[in-house]
Amino acid sequence: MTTLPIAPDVAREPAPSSSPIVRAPSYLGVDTTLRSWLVTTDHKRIGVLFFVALACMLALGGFFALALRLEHLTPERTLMSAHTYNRMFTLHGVIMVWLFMIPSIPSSFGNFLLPMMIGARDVAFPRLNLASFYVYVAGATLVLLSMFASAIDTGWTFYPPYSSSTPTALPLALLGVFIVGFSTIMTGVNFIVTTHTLRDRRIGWMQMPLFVWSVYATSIIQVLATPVLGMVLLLVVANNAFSWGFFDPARGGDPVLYQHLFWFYSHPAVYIMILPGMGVVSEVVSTFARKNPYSYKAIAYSSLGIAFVGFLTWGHHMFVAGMSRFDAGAFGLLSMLVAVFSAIKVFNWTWTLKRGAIRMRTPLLYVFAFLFLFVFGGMTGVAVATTSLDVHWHDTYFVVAHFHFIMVGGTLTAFLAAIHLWFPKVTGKLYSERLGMLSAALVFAGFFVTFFPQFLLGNGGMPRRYFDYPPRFQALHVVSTVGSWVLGAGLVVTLGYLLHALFWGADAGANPWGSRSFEWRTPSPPPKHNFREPPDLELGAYDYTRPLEGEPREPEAAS
Amino acid sequence: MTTRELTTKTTLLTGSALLVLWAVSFGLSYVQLGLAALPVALGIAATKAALVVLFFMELATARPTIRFAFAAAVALVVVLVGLTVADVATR
Amino acid sequence: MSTVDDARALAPAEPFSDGPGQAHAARLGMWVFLASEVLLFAALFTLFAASRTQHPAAFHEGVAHAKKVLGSINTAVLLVSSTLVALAVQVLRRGRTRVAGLLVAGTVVLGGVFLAIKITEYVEHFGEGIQPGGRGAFFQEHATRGLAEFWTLYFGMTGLHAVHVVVGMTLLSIALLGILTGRITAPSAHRLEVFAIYWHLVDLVWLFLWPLFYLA
Repeated sequence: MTTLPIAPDVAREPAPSSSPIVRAPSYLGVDTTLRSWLVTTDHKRIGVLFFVALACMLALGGFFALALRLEHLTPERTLMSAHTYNRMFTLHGVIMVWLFMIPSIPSSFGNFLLPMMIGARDVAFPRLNLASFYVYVAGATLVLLSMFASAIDTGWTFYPPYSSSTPTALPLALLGVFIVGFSTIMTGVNFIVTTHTLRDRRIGWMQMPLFVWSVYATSIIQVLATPVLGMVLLLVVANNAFSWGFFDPARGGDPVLYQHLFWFYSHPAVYIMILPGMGVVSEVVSTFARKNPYSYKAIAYSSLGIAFVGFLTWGHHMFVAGMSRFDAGAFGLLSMLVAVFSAIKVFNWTWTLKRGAIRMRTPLLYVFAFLFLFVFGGMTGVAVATTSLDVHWHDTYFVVAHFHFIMVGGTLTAFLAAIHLWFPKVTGKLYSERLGMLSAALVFAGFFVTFFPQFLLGNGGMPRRYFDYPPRFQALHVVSTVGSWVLGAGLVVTLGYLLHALFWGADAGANPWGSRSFEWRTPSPPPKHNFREPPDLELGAYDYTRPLEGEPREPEAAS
Repeated sequence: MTTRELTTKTTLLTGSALLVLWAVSFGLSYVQLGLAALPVALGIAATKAALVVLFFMELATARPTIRFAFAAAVALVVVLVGLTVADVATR
Repeated sequence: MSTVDDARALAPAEPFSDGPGQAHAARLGMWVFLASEVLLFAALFTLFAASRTQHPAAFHEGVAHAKKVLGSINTAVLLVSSTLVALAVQVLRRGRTRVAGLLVAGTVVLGGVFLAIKITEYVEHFGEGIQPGGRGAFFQEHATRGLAEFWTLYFGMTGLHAVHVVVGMTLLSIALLGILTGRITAPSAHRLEVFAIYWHLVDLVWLFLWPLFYLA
């Protein structure tokens, strides 16, 4: 039995031009001055501010990606010098990893939703929250400034010895990343304390929406892993700017030690990037199958499992770096473990969907894409974690394809799912479902055509970060580049209809999806302090067996 | 909230113990202990650290969440140092 | 909408109205932050441990040349300072704000003593020709492989620690101001407590730097 009609097309119900957003005291309408936005301590506004900044960074990183793919249309120079190419793939990586992916879902959707999902008025430290935004902006500014200086050309991994001697604007860029790291630590501390101390009396650890679990686990990783990155980046800056000679063999140093410290952060970092996306998937699956998760506890505990085991596997990035065989064996073994937790989640989601009352909407379409692409990417991850195989695939396009399957096919897809799931909550408007589905199809198709050929390229021997290549690889490169245009088009169309819906979308009502998650028990967009009166929490966050208060019931004909 | 607050007497005793251990460590550094020198010095350091954490930082009476946060950090340090040193030691 | 509603709507959402909830949140927040500080230093300790494993003779040589007396005095200075600030928290909880203020002031002063001794050490090292990065005349005569790394780590790790001493002193000075102006009192003693905990971490890190660089 379905209940509410959902997401009617814009054409059917045009919104009045002076919408309720301005008249009613929602968090948007309460004060519309610029100043009120710039000094806000409202977690929802801070989430929106982050979202805008993140979207800009995604666009910038994406622009570099498109340029890189254009360059690879021909085997030799197409439109840029090798020098520029090096700087462009470095900036693409740095911007995408630290200025977009790491903060993406937690700082935008985590900020907006976490307090509401636990029935709280705000996070534990609202002013720290605002500070985390400005710290992010400061760090991002330094990174962008470095672009206008001589940029950086070391690759996003900054390996010495080259990072110690490169004459580019490395210290500036790394200080920017260091500062952005502080922002993520601040957010992590805030979310951990909020989850522990601000849950509504009636919401225990096992009653929270699963998205909270995923953001909580992510915050633990952020707090514990980021400082190690911060430290090692400072060491690289000291080497580059002051010639301190850490990791310099001539002065008794060891470059492999850099890699240990770098990857100790950067492997858990990939779990920072995927865990929140997994939380989104849990929410979308239950909402659009109208079914409780097959095992709530399995998903909750596997989030912690990923966070924990993710710290034990970093050496699999260093199989060919000169590490000892003992360590290579240890890391190879440990790396196999982490896939178990991801598998637990995938099986859970699939089983939840089975025999659910599925309603095909854009968020669910993105989640289907996620499931396919994440499994693909995850399995190739297990493959490259196998030492003997990695000897052939390391530093080839195979690895590039693997991590893009997870980061774009996984995280970006989940980010898009999140946008479409919570757009009505944040704005009170509905987007066009038809355009949503079309863009999702374009994004999925474009993504697959871009990155699947890269597995073949890498397996055939095409190294990563190479400016030119043997002509026999050109066909696959061309296919990949065309795919990138389709992917880009899908994202542009998405931006278009979302902006349109922002101003002219139909009114969403409080809960257009009929979701049971707690953030929907308050108007859309929400009031400034989230709940005008204590929310009705009688129905659990995943209880679709009974209707919500005031929910009209429209029984469908038996299928 | 601490479940049981510690007294100033405990604090002063801890402070004295710390200074005693400090003197012992300083004195031992003049004794030729060979390969045992570093483990002994680090062992005394760890004992002092435990005293500071348990009684000055009041972890002894803190809530389980806080104890777990500290334990998690320590465990990770062990993993990081352990596997990295294992690499250089087994090459 | 009435202006009262407007005012209430615009006020920051204070999730806690002081009391035990606020104290626990502040404490938990500081401990979680300290966990990240522990990992920050852990990166350097890892580098030290690995380097020492690779160059045991050079590191031995480095320790032999360290200023043991100065370093050891500094250790005692920090231990006493931690004792003072721990006492301060306890007497503040019992409402004896004046004594608490004096104890906190004493801690800050001892922090200054620590820094003065540290700077003295650095100046003496520079005078001997020991500089970070293996620069300086000292390394012309003493070229054992790994010795430069030892001294660069010395400056890096004790330098980072000194930065944290400054931060700790700043935080405690803010707390002292709070005590003097009556903003931090017995019921809000957690505000001093969290800064005291930070200071103890600064002490903790030094407890491990001392044996590694000065004793063994």
